[in-house]
Amino acid sequence: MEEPPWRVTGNCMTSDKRSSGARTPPGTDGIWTFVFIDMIVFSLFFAVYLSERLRLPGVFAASQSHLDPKFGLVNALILLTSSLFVAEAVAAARLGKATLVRARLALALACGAMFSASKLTEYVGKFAAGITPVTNSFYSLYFLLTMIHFLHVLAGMVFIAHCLGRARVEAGLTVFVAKLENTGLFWHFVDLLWLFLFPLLYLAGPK
Amino acid sequence: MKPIDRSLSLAWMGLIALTLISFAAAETLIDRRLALACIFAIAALKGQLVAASFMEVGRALPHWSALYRVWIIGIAIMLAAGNVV
Repeated sequence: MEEPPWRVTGNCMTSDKRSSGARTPPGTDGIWTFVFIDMIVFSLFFAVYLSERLRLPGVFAASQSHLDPKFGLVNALILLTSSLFVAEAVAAARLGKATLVRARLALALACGAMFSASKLTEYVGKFAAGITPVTNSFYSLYFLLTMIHFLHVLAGMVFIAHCLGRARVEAGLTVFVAKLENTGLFWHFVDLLWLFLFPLLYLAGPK
Repeated sequence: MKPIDRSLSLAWMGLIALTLISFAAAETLIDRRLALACIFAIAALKGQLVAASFMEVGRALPHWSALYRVWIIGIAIMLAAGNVV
């Protein structure tokens, strides 16, 4: 019986469909399911945020005006750039170019570290100003949403670091390409989330 | 640094440009409703670009492709509507 094209095997790249130019689905079915469940969870968080905003518009407007949108902008630019590096790493892995894969993954990891430093700087500034998750409803949701997103960034960095470590020995294997595609899909989802968190938290407030 | 895939670099440049435009729109537009419509429309556009270029949803199984694209549009509409009222 013929295996479905998205099934992962340990075969070498040169003997499978990927290297012959066939358009196989990226990643495994499991990662698409996992990310979609995460999407549903964040939809619920967004719904809670909006319902609280409708209940307490004054509190949300006043609190949002204390966030610095430049932090959100810099973080968006960092994550978009990291997504480019991860997508390029996947493209390089499909070509079996281990050195390029490692270089792009190292750059993506550096972007993740920059995002982490930026986020921690922002949190430290908030705590120094006496703003904590219990300050009010807006800040409870601000810290909840951004901290859960930050945990996703840290998890993504662990996956990228793992792929970086395995790239030298596994770069030519289909199983490695699938692993990197899964990591890439997760990382792009983290980027996608910030595309909505950035305008919601930093740009939608009063001017 | 030489680009590995020109289409990925072009998508990234588009995403950076859209991000800067949405930031400028939020900072400069006087009409708040117009600003909100702009920034969430741009977020939806950026989401579609990330999904198509980086996540390659066009190559995913059809149900995932449809669900991911619909989620991006749905969330953008929900966030815009929830902030306008």
